[in-house]
Amino acid sequence: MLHFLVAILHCAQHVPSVSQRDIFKQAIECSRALMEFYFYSQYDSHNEQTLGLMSTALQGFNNSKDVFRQFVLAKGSLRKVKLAERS
Amino acid sequence: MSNTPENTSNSGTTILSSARSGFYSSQHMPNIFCTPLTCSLMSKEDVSTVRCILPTGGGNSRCESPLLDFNITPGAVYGVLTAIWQTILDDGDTVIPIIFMSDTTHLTNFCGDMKAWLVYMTIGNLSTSARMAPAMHSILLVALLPIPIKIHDIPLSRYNEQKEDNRMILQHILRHIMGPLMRADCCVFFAWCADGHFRCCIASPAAWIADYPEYRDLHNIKNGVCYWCECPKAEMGQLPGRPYPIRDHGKYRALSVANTATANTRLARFDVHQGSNVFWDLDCVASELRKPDLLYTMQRGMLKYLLGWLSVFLKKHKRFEVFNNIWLSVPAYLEMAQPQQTYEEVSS
Repeated sequence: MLHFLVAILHCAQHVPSVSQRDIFKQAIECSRALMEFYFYSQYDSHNEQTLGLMSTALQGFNNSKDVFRQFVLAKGSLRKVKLAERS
Repeated sequence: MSNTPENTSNSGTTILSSARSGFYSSQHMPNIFCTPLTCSLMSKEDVSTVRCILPTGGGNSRCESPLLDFNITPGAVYGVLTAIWQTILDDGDTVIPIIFMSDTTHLTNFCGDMKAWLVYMTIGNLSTSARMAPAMHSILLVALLPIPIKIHDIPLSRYNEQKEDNRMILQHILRHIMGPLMRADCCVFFAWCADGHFRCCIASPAAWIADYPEYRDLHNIKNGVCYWCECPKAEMGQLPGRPYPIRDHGKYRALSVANTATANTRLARFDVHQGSNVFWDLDCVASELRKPDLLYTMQRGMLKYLLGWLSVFLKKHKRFEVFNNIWLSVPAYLEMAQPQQTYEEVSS
């Protein structure tokens, strides 16, 4: 099913509003880059070309990962609040 | 023990030389040198042989092979190379790479002690089929460490003290487990091999297969930092413009032994805990012992985060129901069956 994850995500985000258009596009790009890196990492052997493709996928993920960063920050903030309450 | 070659090779070489001299002085090969551990090590049909040409000492005829013959699996070659170069080996000497494996295991839901940390050990001279056969007993359980319960209803200072105590106890137990590997006279021994030759066998820790939490505790570093390089915690997650320096555990040991305010500050800057690390006393390079569990680190772990992000993202934008409907409507294709559960049910 993971082979179709990006396609399903693309279909689920059809007809976005104007405000959602860029965010949805960025989410698809980020997911696609990470899935490409995931599938390249499963190769039995690598050469310069496949390593270059992995680097490109990693670069693409880093360029578009800000769309998911807010969820990571929310998790960290919640933990900080718990630690502060304990002290 | 420092990781520098000049410090690590002295004791091992002395013991090795004395052991060899005692071996040659005897006219007969006593059976006391035969240990059951190595009886199945040298079956060349089912091990991949790595031949290395290294400068050797005096020639002897214990082995018919003119080359230094290391019967180790290719995956263990990298971790054991350092030990090879630090120890003067002779023709026919056999390196026995010790491979440790550990993972946290969920035990039960019915009492407080729910998790345990299992430590397994095997050697790299075995073929994969022999190692994975249950009847061969090639993987031994050497420790079953209980994981202390996290007590959250205490002040933060007391919580940190408890964590520090747990960390020191763990290092003490690991030192007890690794004790024989720290003694050079235990690591070098003669064994009667499957091809009928007596060989000088040298055991050396080569790999520790584990996940990140285990590596964090083993390397005595703080949570959330890399055990391989000195990437600052604030820069974790960023694509590095240049490679960071590899962790130098010899430097950490020197700072820990110094135990001054400046040294402790530098240790904290490297995100390393104070106190000793069991790997510092082993004849190995601690930062090269890691052999990450790629299945979890590269595949399951990465996907878990991506799918979690997507769930939250789609719920926030009210597209999760549409996503689930499309997920369920994907038809069967080749070996892939049609999903019977929604994505949320599968991932949970």
